[in-house]
Amino acid sequence: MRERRREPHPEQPAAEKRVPAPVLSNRAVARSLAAQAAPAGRGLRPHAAIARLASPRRAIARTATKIETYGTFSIDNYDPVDSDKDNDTNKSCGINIDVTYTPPPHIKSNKIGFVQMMKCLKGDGTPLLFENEKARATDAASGDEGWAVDRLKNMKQGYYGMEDNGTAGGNLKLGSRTDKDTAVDATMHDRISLGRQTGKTAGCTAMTFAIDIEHGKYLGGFCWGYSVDASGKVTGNPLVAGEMGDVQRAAIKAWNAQAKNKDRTKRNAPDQQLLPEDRPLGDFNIDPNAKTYA
Amino acid sequence: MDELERTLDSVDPFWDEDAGPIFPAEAMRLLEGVPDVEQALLRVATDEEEPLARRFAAVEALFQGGWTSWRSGPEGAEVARVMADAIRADGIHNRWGLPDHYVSRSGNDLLSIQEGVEAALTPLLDDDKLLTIHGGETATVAHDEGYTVGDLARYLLAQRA
Repeated sequence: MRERRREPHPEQPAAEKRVPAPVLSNRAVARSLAAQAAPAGRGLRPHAAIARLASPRRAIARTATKIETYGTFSIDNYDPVDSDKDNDTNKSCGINIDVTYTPPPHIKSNKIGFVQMMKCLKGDGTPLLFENEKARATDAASGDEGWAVDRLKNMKQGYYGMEDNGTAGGNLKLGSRTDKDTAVDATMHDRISLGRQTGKTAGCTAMTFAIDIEHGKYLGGFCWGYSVDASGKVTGNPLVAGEMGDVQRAAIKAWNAQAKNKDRTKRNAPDQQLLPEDRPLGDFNIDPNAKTYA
Repeated sequence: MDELERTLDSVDPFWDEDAGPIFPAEAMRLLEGVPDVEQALLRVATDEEEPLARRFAAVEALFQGGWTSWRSGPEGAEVARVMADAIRADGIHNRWGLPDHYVSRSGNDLLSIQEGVEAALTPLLDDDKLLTIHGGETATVAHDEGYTVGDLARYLLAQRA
């Protein structure tokens, strides 16, 4: 494969210097945002802390958005994608995101990555699914149809951005934690882009979960995405901490069902691998963020 | 305008947002009612006087309906050329495939034509227009790699080698 030539999309500003944000979060802002963007059944955690933190240098450098959950997500370059900005035309719309995940201090893992699932909508309000996703999308019986694990066709791993041999691809850096003072952040890059038709709405909701791949345990997660209104304006969804709900568990089960499909042509890849099924946080001996949820 | 043309013009063939077949069931039922539909569609697809959108819609209908006995015949090369022109004109390229990764529905349709595919795709090799690939991770990879129409042509040609 040839050398990557990642460039910012036209609406994305040039790389900005990242300013560290304080650890403590603004819980009032968190509750307000969570209350706005917590559709039923999607496993959102309304009391998790989230805040776009003020910084004295904000005028010259944008801060990352911090999401404190089971570990900490830092979100950068969360910028709408719009191939014909604000115009009411057939066009490509979406959102760019860079995610950095710092694992909580009390876990140990040699391999931390991400599992991501999405539900995207066409202009008529029905789920927008590509062929390789239809075979693993949730149905109405799961509580919300159209959610599917986001993976490139022909890739056997369910972990976002992972190569078939288990190493990180270009949009992923695997993390780890060996003790409370020694950790490597996991990072990922995504840039959703989907069609939007003249005069129609469109949008996509995504949920990204960090996962301890070594032990098959899901860590924290958050919700993001975008919407396009009928005039063609693209707006990023609020960033909200999220727990895995029944629908997301169903999407993982559906991925695993696809991996077991006897007709290999209907799998994402002929040797598609299983994803760990979710275990609740109670499986961990210690939940260092328990007070945050209270 | 006859029923066939109305049906072909009822869809935008260059905006296939989920990369699936472009005609709804009702349109396919109408086409099934056209006498000798394969020949009728083939006439539209190979008629240089027709607009590219209608010609390509006819090609899509031929494959969607399974009316494909012509693929080993003399019309194959002209249909391949229409499909190559459609790659350049397409608004969303997912249906063709993602270079270096996989071939999708219309890419496989094109590759199933017996003769003339190489001649149709070769002129695209120097086309540096960026592909419009939609999706989550799929769109991200395509954007980061900067895949072009030329890359897609190269990848499709490699499948024929």
